[in-house]
Amino acid sequence: MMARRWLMAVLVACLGGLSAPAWAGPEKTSPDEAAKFITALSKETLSVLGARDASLGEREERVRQLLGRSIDLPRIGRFALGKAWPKATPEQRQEYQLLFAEWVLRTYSRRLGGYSGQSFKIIKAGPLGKRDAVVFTKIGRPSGPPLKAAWRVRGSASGYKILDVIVEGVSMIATQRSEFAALVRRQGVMGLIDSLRMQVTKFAARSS
Amino acid sequence: MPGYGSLKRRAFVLCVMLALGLGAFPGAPVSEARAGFEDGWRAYQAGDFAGALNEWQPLAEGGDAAAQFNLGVMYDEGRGVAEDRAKALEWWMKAAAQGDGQSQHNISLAYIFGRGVERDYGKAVSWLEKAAASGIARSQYSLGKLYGYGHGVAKDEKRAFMWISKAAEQGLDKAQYNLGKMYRDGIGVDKDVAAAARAFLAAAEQGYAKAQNHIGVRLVRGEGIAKDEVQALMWLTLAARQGHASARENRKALARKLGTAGRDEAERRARQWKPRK
Repeated sequence: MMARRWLMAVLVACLGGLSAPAWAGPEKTSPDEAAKFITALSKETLSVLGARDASLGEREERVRQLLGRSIDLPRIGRFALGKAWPKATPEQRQEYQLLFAEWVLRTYSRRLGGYSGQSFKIIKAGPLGKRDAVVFTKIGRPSGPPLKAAWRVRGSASGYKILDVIVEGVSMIATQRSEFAALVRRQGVMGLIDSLRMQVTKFAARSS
Repeated sequence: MPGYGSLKRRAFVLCVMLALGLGAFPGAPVSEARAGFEDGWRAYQAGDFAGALNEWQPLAEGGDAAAQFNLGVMYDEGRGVAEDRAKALEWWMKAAAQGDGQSQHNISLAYIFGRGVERDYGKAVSWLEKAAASGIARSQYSLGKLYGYGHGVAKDEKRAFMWISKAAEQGLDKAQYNLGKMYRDGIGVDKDVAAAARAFLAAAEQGYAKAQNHIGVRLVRGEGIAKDEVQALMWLTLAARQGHASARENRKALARKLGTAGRDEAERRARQWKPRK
């Protein structure tokens, strides 16, 4: 109970900054619908991960496509760049967004693509901020204790999208934002773009 | 029947791997260590990371660089083990000490983002130098970019050009694109619009959107390459379809200028186009 209250407090503290644009209006995301969206997404992901006839690379590619259409990458990318966003040139923004999306999808599809034997349980869902919903889940793993993950979801005319995931109380995008801010302080936006460009060249496991 | 197809393909790949392995060492049996490594790879592909770890751990401890590299990846990505970036680095360091280029490359990335280690651009560069010297195209490209921007090293455009062109020669599309820009602007090399066009074309042919836009623009102007507006429209169309914003604008303007016949022909070519591997 304490842990959950703490989680909620962290959530609100971390994500208060991610407010809706003024023109968007107070269109609220229904927590029930957000929970349905997360349930459907988890089912689809688990079925991809369970497809034993597909190679690891193929499973990762399918997870990547699922994530690509379920995560609001442009919005998260903008948030993660923080105060540097308004100062970046249009070309820098385009380059950064492409690399950021590539990097997030690559990292998470690799991280998820290999898993099997997971279970996914929705604990509860509620409103968050002016227009979002948060869906609390418990992910069971074959080894180790279950993982608590909370998903920040926003609904719009084009469907539901994930805005953040809070794992064991830590917001992924807030973490990203502070990591990026440190890089921008040292090397500027071009330095960050350069680092991202290099990070997507990381080598994966090999067959010989 | 996807299962059958993929099984057949895997069997084929396995045959080729065996043939290559035997071809390289005529008469020698596939060693026990190799067999263990391959069992580990099969387990890894099946998502059985504990199984892969069982096979690779003893090999890695015995000094097998490929097994050490793969263990590093498993710790880095938290596969079958708790994510532990310091441990990932430990294994990569062992392989890197044996001259494993991919390990050297991944170590340099860890230093750039400060993952599992204190952030240190200088160290990142020295690892990249090693990997680039051993012929890893991605490292040559990354090193070229660092020299170009002067991150972690003194800015040196000649060296930037040298490393980018080495990576481009190996066929890395991003490096070919960057080489095109260096020839275009005369960075680290004398200005050469024809060489720029050739480099942009090479990257465009591999499907690199930014290069497709650049070669499209050059074909419109006849800059470094014979003017050909229909072919230009094909490249701009291909880049625009990948979401390239300026290509979309350029495409619109050119399509207005060309007649229906030219537009249809460009469209036909774009439909038939396939990236060169």
